[in-house]
Amino acid sequence: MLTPYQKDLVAAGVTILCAGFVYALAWQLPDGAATYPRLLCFAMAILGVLLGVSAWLSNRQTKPATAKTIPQAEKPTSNWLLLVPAALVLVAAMFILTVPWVGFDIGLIGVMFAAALIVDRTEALRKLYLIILVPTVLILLFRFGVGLRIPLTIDRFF
Amino acid sequence: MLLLDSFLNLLNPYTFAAMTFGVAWGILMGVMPGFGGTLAVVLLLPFTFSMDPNTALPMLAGVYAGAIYGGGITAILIGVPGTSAAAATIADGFAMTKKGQSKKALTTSVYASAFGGIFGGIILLLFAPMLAKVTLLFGPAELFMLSVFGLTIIASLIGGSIIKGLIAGVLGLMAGTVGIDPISGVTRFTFGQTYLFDGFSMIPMILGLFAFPITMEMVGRSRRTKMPTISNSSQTGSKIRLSEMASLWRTLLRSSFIGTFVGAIPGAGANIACWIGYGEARRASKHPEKFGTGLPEGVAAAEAANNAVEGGSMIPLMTLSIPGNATAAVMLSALMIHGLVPGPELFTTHADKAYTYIMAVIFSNFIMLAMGFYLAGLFARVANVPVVVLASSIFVVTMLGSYAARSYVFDLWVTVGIGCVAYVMTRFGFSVIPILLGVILGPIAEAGLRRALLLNGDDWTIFVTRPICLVLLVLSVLSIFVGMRLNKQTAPA
Repeated sequence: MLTPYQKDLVAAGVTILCAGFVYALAWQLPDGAATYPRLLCFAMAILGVLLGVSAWLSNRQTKPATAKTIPQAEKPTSNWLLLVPAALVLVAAMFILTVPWVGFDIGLIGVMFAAALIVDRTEALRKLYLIILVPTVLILLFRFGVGLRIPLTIDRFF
Repeated sequence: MLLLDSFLNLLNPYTFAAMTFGVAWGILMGVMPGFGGTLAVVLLLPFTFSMDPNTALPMLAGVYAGAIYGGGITAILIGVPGTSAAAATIADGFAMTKKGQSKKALTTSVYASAFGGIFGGIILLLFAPMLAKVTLLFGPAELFMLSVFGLTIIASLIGGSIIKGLIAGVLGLMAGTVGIDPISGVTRFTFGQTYLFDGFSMIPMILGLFAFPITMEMVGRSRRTKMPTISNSSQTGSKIRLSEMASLWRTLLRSSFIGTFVGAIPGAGANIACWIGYGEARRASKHPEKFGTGLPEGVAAAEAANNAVEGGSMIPLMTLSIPGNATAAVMLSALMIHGLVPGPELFTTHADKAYTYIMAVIFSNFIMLAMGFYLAGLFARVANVPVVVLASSIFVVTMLGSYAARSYVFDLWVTVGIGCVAYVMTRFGFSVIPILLGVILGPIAEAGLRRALLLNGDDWTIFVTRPICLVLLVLSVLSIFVGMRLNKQTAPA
C-alpha cells in the first residue's frame, strides 16, 4: 500500500493531469466561456505543484519514521478496505445497467442481497426478510409518498 | 406578525408531523456511529422534493438538531460517539454510565442539548436578518470575492491539508462549470450528453459525495469492527432533577454561547465546539479535577455547546451563503433546491419560509426534548441493527434518491461515479465538503467574475480597489495563514 508521502505525490500528479485535461477541453471553447475554466485550471495546476512540493519537503524531514512504521501499520486493513468497496461498485454498476429491464423492485432487492452477501454471508441469509422488506418499503415510500414514477417489474403484470 | 405566522405554520399538523419525523430520524442517524447529521439530511433530502418548502425545511431543521443530540446517546451508553460532535460527552457521560447513572447522564444530555439548540436558534433569529442586509452592498466583484473567501475559509479550517482542501474546492468549482454557460449560452464539458446541459443535478451529486462513500466505507469496515450491544440493562439510576439541572445554568449559558460563536465560524463545527465548551466549563469549575469522573456538568457543557452550533452555523449560511460545516453545506443545497437563495432576499421575498425555518430550528428542540426524555433508550437500540442491513438500506435510498431528482438513469451513474471519486479522495486525505461548496458557489463566483470584468473593461484591479473586495481578499489570505498555523499546532510530532 502507498505511504502518505506516495499518496500525496499521486494526488499531486493526478491534480496536475486533471488541470491539463480540463485546459485542453477548454481550448475548444470561445473566449468568454473559456476564461473562468482556464483560470480554474491554472489554480488547480499551481495547487498540484504545491501539494507535490509540500509532500516532498515533509518527507525529507520525516523520512526515517515514515519508512519504517507506516507501511506495516496500514497494510492489513487497507487491502480489505479497497477490495470490498470495489465489489460494491461492481454490484452498483450491474444494477444501473440492468435497471431499465428488471425495474427498481427486482433490481434493488437483488442489489441489496448482493451487497449483504459481500458484507456478511451468514447475516445476509439470516436477515433475508429484511433484505426484501427494506427496498419494498422504500420503493412504496418513493412511489406513494414522494410521488415518483419508478419503473417497476410489477407494473408489467398489474 | 411574521414570527407569529411562522410559528403557526409549524403548528400545521402536516408540518408538525414532518418536523417530528425529522427530529426522530435525526436522532436515529445520530445514534449510529459513523452516520451523523450530514448523512441524515442527505438521505432525507430526496423525500422533500414534492413537499412545500414550509414543510420540508422545518423537517430538515429537525433532522439537524436531532442528529447532533443523538450522537451523545451512544457516547453515554457505550462510550462510542455517534457523531464526532459527541466526542467530549464520553468523558463524563460514559463515566456516569459506569457509575450506574446512565439515566441521569441521558437526561442531562437532552436538557443541555435543547437549551443549547434553543439559544443558538434565538441568536440566529436576532442576527441573521440584520447581517443579511450587509450583502445589499455587494456587486458582482464582491460576490466573486465572497465565493473565494467562502472556499478558502472552509478549505483552511476544515482540518487536514489546506492545499488539499483548496484542490477539492477548485474541483467543485470546475464541476460547477459543466453545462450551458449562463452568459454566452455555449455548452461546456457536456461531451454531447443532453443530461448535462443543466450541469450536474444537485441531489445525485450530494448523494454521491456523502452517502455512497459511507456505504463503501461501511462494507469495508464491517468485518473488522464489532460494536458493543445496547440492551435495556444499559440504562440505570434515576433521571436528573430539574432543580439540579437549573443549578448548571452558568455552564449551560457559557457553552451555548461558545457553541453558537464557534458554529458561526465557517469550517469550525460541533466537533470543535464540544471540546471548547467542555474545556471552558472545566476551567471555570471550582473542582476541575472531578471532570472526567462522571460529572453532569461535563455532559451539560459538551452537549449544550454542540447543539448550539446549529443556530450559529446557519448565520453565515443564510446571510452570505457560507456554510459553517458539512451538514450546513448540505442544508445550503437544500435551501437552493427549494428555491431559496441566501442573502437579503431570503428575509424579504421569502421571509415566510426563512422565518419558518428559523422558528423550526428553535421549536424542534422542544420536540427533541420530549423525545429524548422518554425515548432515548429506545433510540439507542437502533445502534444494534446489523451493518449489513444499514449499509444496504443506505445504498437503496441513495439509488432511489438520485433517480428521484430527474428520473434519469444517467443520474445513477453520476452518483456512483462521484461516489467512487469521493471515496478515493477521502482515502487520500481530501475532504469532500469543499467540493460541494465549490459546486454551490461556482455559478455565483463565475457570474460575479465575468460581470465584474465586463462592467470594468476587463480590468482585474477592480478586485483590489473596491473596499469590500479588498477586505474579503485580506480575509481569504488571512484564513489560509490561520489554517496553516492551526495545522502546524495539531500536526502529530
